[in-house]
Amino acid sequence: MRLILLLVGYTTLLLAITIFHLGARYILPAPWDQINVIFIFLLFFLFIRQSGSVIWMTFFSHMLIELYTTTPYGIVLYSSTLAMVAMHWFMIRVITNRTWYSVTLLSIIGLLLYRSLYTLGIIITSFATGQVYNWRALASDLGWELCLTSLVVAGIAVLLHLIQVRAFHPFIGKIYERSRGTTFRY
Amino acid sequence: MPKDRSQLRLIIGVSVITGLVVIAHLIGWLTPIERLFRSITNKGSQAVYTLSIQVHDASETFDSVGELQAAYQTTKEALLDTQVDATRLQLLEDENQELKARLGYMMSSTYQTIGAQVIGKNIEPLANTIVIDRGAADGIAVGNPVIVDDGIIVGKVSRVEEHTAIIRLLTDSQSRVGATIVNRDKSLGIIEGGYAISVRMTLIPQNEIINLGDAIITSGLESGTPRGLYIGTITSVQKETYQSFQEAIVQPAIDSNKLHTVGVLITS
Repeated sequence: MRLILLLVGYTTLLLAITIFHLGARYILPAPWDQINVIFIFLLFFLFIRQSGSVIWMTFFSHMLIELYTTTPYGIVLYSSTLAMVAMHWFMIRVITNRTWYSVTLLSIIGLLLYRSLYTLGIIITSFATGQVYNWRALASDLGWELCLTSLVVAGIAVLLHLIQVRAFHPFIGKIYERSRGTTFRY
Repeated sequence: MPKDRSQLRLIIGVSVITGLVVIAHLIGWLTPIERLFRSITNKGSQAVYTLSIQVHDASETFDSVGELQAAYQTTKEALLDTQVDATRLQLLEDENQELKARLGYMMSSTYQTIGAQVIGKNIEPLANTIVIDRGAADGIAVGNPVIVDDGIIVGKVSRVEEHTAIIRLLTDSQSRVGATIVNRDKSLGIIEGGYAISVRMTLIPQNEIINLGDAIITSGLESGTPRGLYIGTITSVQKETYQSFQEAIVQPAIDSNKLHTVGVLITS
């Protein structure tokens, strides 16, 4: 029963995040519509929970995103999941503190990895299908995504520190305690 | 070392599972699940897309009363010209029908329009697409042209699901449409997207004369796309004497960021 409730909860959360991501793309003006909302959510989920379940959340959320793309099926799915695997490894093995700049660095690394794999997938499939892409427009959009998403990540991390959630909200404080008592610090 | 091995196993596991999911998708095993999730997310997508249209419409303003008056005057004059052209067009259509009847001309095919609502747009960097709420169940197929206002083409169907379809707009870098310039030479060419909000007409013979402001329509040489669908007007001509063909920059007639309802042309 608990498992079913957990499954329903995670599914609802993923659907909500996907719709929120779509909404941000539609409503925000250019270039702010390039902000990757799903990535931001998954990154903070990884940072706060420090759980490998974020990899499967990434997998299933991007399976939903694949329904709205015209690139060959699997490119977005594989590149995003692999990037999250690498980010998880970086967080555990390389980035040992929990400061706002470490989460921003992780965001930059993750996005670079994700979009590098994505671009590689596009190049490979373009050889196979003969499709021609506007590489300059792609580079511009990905550059904006990297800058603005990382900026938002840094802003949220600083905000979380300023709010001091551990002091104000006992429930969220317990999440921090469960994640070995880490908080966002300067 | 053991942790690195487990990391490697994780990467291999993810790769294998992704591969299996891709194969399952291509075979069609995932279709029921995708249909279920799509029906849920489409409702949310439709709501936020409608909101985005309202937000972007509200953001258009005029800096001064004078600018508003000038825009109003321009619109009034354009409306009057359009009314004159519409009358002239109707007379020509009547004459055309009469001449065809005299020649015993048989129409090889007729087109039917299926109305659809736009429920979303592209969320990836490479594409310029919209999502509509009609699909294979309504008779839509890949390659069907998509129009607005009874005769302005905005794109073609790129991908079809049971109850939704993805439309590749003219401004998409993968978009290719056969076109004709409404000039003395009836110049033929290809409309290509991928140039921000404009499109480019390529493969126009070097020796043919094209002018700024010339109208572009579909050539009808592609299967499934009738002749005469309006595309836009020429805003710039690029001609080099050493090249075999010249190119024209075309301003599409419709702002594809504000589409709410479209029509899909299917062959009946």
